[in-house]
Amino acid sequence: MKDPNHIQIELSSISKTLAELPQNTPFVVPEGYFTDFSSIILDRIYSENIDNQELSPLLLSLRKENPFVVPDNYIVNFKAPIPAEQARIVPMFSLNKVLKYAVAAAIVGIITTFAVLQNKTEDPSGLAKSENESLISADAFALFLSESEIVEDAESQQAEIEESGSLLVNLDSKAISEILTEISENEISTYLDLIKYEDPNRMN
Amino acid sequence: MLHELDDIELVRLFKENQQRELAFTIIVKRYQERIYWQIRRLVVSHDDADDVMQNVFIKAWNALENFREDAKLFTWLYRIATNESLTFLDQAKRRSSVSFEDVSETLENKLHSEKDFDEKKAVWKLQLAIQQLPEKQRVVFNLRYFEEMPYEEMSEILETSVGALKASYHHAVKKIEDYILNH
Repeated sequence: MKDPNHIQIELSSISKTLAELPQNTPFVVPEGYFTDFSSIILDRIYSENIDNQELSPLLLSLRKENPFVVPDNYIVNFKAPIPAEQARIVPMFSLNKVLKYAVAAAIVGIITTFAVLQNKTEDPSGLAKSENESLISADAFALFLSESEIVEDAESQQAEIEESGSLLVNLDSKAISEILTEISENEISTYLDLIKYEDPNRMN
Repeated sequence: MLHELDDIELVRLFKENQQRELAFTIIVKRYQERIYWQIRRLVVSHDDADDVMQNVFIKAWNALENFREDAKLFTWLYRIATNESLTFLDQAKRRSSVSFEDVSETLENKLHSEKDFDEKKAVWKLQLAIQQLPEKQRVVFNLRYFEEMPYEEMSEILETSVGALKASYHHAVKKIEDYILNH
């Protein structure tokens, strides 16, 4: 079994330090341990057998033999059945996928409806209504108006803009003179200079 | 007369229930010292080694009935001893993980409490170095260094390839050398 010379050569090739160490174990064994061990072990086996005998004498009296019979050459000829590999079936149309999208769309719809209704109830001034109206596209708007009506609408919008521009100076002379008393001459001349640079024609 | 019988004949006597105790006693006496040292080097303390020894031979008594003669009796006993020692260390590891201790530290402490322990002596330093190794390397190193066991036999006991055992032994020797030179 042993080939100490070979093992020592192998050890020297890996580590000279270790090869030079004494190869003994420094542990101490109690005196008489090996003399008594076999009788100690047999005593323990007997005592365990007695325990088993007390527990079930019938079971202990039975030999631990296997009573089952295997058909001749079963083990020799045994081949593990390998199931034939089947191609994986990939469905063309997945119901689960469609359901997912349907549920997602329904949730989005519910959230949108809820948000719109919430806006209507939260804003009694009618601002939400006008915002909602602005969502109507130009195409949808055209469906309900004739060409002449559209032109009329555009003209009235232009007039409104012009009108609103004139409103900016719709102040009486008393109010203007009150405002001017609060403004210094320097400020007025600075303002006139600024206007002159931005729009020279306006001053002419 | 019976003492001169070889392992196969002793096992046959045991199985036939003729002089079963005597056949078993001869087997125990034949291998007890080598089995003991293999266990002791792994678990360190004598009390622990004695517990593991008793478990090994009780298992051997219960399983010898079904022992197949295509294996060597000694190899079979060695395998039981190694498994029982590693199981014992695993249980110690589980206990130590509860108490936040390291097993190698525990084994080191056990070494320190050994009779005649002297850290300056090379043989004790070697034992300290062995306790730093991972379990598998420790088993391989002990079997090769102290038991001078061929790799082929070790391969049967540990059910590991010869190449892997050679690599384990090489790593173990290098680690031990490093420990000895730096401590």
